[in-house]
Amino acid sequence: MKTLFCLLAAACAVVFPPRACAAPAKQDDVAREFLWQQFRELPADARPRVGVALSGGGAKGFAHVGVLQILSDAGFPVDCLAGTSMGSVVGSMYCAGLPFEKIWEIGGAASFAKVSGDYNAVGMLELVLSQKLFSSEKMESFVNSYMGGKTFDQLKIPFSCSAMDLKTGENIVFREGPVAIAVRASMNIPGLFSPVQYRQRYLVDGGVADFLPVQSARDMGADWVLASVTLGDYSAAKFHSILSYVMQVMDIRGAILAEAAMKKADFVVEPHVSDISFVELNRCPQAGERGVLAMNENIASAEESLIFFSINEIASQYNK
Amino acid sequence: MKSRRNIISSILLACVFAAACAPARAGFLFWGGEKPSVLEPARELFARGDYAGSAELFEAALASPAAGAADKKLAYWFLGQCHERAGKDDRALSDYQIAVRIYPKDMQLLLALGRLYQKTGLLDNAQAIFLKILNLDSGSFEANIGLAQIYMKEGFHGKAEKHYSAALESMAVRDAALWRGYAESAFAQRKYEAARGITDRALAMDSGDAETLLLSARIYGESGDKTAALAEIARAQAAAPERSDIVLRRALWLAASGDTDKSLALSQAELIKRPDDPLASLAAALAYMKSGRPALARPRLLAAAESKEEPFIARAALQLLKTLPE
Repeated sequence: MKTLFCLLAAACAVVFPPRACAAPAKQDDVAREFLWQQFRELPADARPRVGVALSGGGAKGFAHVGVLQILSDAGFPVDCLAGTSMGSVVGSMYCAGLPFEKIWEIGGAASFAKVSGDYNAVGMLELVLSQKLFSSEKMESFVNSYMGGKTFDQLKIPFSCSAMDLKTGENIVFREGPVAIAVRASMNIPGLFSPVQYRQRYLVDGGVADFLPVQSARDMGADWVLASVTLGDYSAAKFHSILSYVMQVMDIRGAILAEAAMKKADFVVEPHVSDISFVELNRCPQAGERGVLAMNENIASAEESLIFFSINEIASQYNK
Repeated sequence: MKSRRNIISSILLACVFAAACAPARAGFLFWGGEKPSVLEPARELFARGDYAGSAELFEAALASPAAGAADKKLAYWFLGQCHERAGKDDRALSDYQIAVRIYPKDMQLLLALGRLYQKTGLLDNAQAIFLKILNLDSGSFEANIGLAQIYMKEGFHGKAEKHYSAALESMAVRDAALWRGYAESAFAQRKYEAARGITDRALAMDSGDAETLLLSARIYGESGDKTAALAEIARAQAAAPERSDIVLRRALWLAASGDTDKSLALSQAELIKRPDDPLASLAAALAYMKSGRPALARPRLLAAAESKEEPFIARAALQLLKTLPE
């Protein structure tokens, strides 16, 4: 009996070891945690305005959900958000105040399947035979299904999204009116979907004009901008369909535009999603998880960047 | 019922680990109740800490036709343990991988492999193994804890909370560190009420755990109760008076709250021990700034800005210097 007791006691000590002496925290970590809390306690009108820019990228762009989730967990304020293409889809959901559980659920294969039916082989054959582009109305209905016909001014966080005017090449930034048609225009792949006719313009995917809308975030008043960029590996592409050609052009154009825009951002996070193609909407949840991993890895650096950017405001609480 | 099953499985699991250090006869406790006598010499050496010697004997036992299936499972497990304890993690990984290929549903071997993957930073592999274990036994305490820790590290705070809950809520596990991990997973999602409740449970198990007290302070601080936060940091300091990081954390928060005299007393005491301590210098500088003495803050910020070991503090100090009034 005594032996059995001793054995069980030893067992418990191994599985549930006594309290280990915790190593002291690193000084930099203590200081960062403290100054971050000081930043977070600043009134919204007494600190820099924080903006987030979400790139295009099709299914890859669902990584932005993971990025936003980690920012939210870390207590990052988001004062305004600009999105392009998939960035506008994710951004609209976030700015409308949808809980993350709901956004992840929407990103599940079942929901996106409703709008991605045109991307399959039968859809492509139909496109070639009829020589007639698809309509992206499904996307508008999809956005309305979670947005409930909201207009930009009804969103909880100021939001803008970008599309391109097919006749002038202008980058059109939507900041007012109904959200759903603007998001539809922003994610309206050229060569696949017919242009969206809206406000006397023919509009296509914003990814070809403003892939990463850092400037739009600045135009909304952001002083400090975090950019989430989801680029494809276009060097690995195989051209087996019309769609793959179109996506290749979109990816290359996106990468060129992103390179310039990233230089204007204060902080850039790039989830590793290059292996996910533009139209693999069934891989949205996977892209989202990659977004979590990428932002989680960089959250301390992002906090540091914002602390240094706000040092005058933080110091003003001490220099009385 | 589920709770009872979990408790039983955890005790059985505990026995596996205990057997590693126990006399050879304890082998009857696991892997089917068969007495693995062929392994006894190897286990005697293992119990005496001769891992190289016992590894040789376990390898010989694996090659022996006399060894039955239960002996072989046990031998693989011990072989991996020998290599782990001798610091040869690569060899141990190889042992467990081979064993799991032969016995793909053996929980103890799967757990050993999963835990070693986790220990060596191969988190994707560890995750896959722990998920496999949960498929075999959804109540596995170790697999749930392993997954919770991995998810927490990767930023999947909600999933981490779910697995901590599955492991801890239905069991009478009195391990403050695990409960603290659970509380951290709730806190990371800004679920302050839940985090506070779990932290209270951890503190009820071990009221002197400084890390749990610091977490409690952060929860109070972020949810707006600065007085309670400061009180918790003071308790943490009392629990671990040797830790300068806690002393200086308290000094920083006292400075922020306006209690600059107390703050300075703490940071100055640390500066007497280590005159160029970067965090103590920063804390002292902030207290001087808060009390309207920028001239005294300047030399402290200059000292902190010199730090090579703490680049964040150095840069913050340099920037704060520029904000000081002339």
